[in-house]
Amino acid sequence: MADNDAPNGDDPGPRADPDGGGRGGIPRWVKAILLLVVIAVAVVVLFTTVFPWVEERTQDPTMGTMLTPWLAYLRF
Amino acid sequence: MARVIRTIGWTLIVLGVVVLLYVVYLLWFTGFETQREQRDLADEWSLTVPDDPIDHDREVDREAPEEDDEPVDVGDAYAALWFERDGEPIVSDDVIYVVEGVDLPTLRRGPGHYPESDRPGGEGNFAIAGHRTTYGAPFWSLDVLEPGDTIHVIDRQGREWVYAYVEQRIVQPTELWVVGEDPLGSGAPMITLTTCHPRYSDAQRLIAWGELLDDPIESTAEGGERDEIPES
Repeated sequence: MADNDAPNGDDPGPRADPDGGGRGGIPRWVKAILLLVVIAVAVVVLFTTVFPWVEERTQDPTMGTMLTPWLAYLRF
Repeated sequence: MARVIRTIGWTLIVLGVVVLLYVVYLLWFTGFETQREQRDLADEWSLTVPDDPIDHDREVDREAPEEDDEPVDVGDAYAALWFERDGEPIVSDDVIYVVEGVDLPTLRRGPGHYPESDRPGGEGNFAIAGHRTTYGAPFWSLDVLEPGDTIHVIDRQGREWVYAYVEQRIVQPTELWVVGEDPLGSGAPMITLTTCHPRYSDAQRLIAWGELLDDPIESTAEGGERDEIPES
């Protein structure tokens, strides 16, 4: 149920908009695209930065990993 | 405000699903990538190594001069490795192809040879690192080794070197001595295998050592309970 749907069949008021956006607000389709862009950027950051960082700290079978002691406690 | 919270909530849910999928990929699907790489290495090996390299009955030839050893590019096949007990394969059913180098992208192809360590059959320490959980988990069962087991290595010249398993220890990742020239102080030519410990973590390292034999030996391994792996 959309936020601008009024409960109990009452008049939804001035926020109702056939485009789905509030009065003078950003259209719903623009928000959807923005959300997709944010998710896409987050996925790219995850796969290019976060996941390799995690892999380096959890899947390294080599010797000589010179982590500082406090960082070593973060290893799981 | 409610819409903002809902948007953030959905974003977190989507990111959570992505993270879960990544974990599934890391634990189970990276093995397919390594399997494909190992097949490629096997093809490369058959083209570069003389004769039939995987011959368990081959006579050991330690007389071949060291200058035969050409430098190997990082990521290329460096050696073939398998483990035996009573003539039966252990640790891995298949021959494992070892690549040159131990950086993480290289280790996705298979276990890697520490470039600073000695060559197979050398007088020093021939050291190899391999994954224990992801990327095919070649050293998943490294802890099953027992005295009497043998570690077989074929180098790029087609020479087979046999090491007798000696012992294993659990150490901290910073204990570099384990891949040093003479880690156990025995003075014997060694092989050192390093992998993650415990499984699914690399908080510590499981280290297995073997000593080079002049000739292949009949395995004397017998069944029974294994000793606890010492921690240093």
